[in-house]
Amino acid sequence: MYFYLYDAFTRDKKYERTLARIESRVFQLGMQGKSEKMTILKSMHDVLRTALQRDATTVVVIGNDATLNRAVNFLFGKEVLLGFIPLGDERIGHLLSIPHGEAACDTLSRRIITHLDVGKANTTHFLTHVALGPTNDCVLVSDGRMTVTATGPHLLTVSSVGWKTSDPTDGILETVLEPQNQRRVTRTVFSARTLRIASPTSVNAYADGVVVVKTPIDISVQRKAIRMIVGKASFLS
Amino acid sequence: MAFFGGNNMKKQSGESETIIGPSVRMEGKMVAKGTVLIQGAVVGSVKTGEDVHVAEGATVKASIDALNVFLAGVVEGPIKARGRLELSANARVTGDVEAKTVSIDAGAVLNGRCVMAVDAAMNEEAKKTAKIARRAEQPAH
Repeated sequence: MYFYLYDAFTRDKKYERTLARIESRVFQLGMQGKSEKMTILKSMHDVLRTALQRDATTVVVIGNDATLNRAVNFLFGKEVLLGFIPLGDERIGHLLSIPHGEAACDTLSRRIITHLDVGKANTTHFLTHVALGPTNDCVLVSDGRMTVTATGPHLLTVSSVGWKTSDPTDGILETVLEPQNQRRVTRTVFSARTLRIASPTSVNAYADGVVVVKTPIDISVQRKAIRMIVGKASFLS
Repeated sequence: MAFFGGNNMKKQSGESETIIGPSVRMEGKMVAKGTVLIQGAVVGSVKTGEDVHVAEGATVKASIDALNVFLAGVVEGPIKARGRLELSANARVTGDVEAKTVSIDAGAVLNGRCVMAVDAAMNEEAKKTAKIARRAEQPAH
């Protein structure tokens, strides 16, 4: 059974037409189900808990990266299929080849299902990446055996859908250190299964671009931890 | 040969799986699956099933174990290349090296033993010869 969860920001008038087209397309494709919109009084956890109690087998979140990140954090470890209709300012849909808006309904109907890796930064789960910086003084410890330090300000990104490794099912984190204010200096790229980020002072990092995690951060990846409908089969192993 | 010139550097960056940039220092045990390009500083050990490139300006105080090794920087440590070892004119190597094929450009510096074995039997022979030479160097009791 499908359950559609609308983020609170989709109540804005500018999304009215798009939502109407989405609902119409869902009906045409025979994917009707229950739906609920988040409000100030109803958190995502409350809504999803109710959905699971009503035996929802496919939960479709309609919103942006923050919406999807919150859904992943709640649904992690639960036997439910996750779908996503990107709206607003988002990046994850593009990485998973899920188009924006109404076109995502056709992606849902094709039901290309894959088990995606889910990263964990301290107690927060993330689907794509953790970003931090620019920072001068972070120390990275990779797989407990390699210490990496950088001179000068660097932007740090740790991804499960990475720069070179675009496979979100391989259980590997890709770390990219991008030097700032330095011309023609190559970035640093390396892979790891676990990473610890430490710094003398507490620094904010952003999981999936939206959730704040503070250093020290222990990052790991749970391989194939969530079932999700994606746009194409090319990163299926 | 200008293996580590500007354009080649860019091409290497596009293909390598692990890249240590010039502003980065790595300490510890690096185990990679693909090609490794080192432009910064590495201390410890580097092991991969593919190639290792040490660029000009890079400093490596580590053992290197790879398929092919291409050096243009400063390396201190034993190097084992199961295939080819190439030292460009700017390479400065201190340590024993072992490879099937060795290419050293004019200007490169290598201070250490060089073992090149065509097959396992020759490798064993080379090791025996080295052992005898070491015994001969020890003072008689």
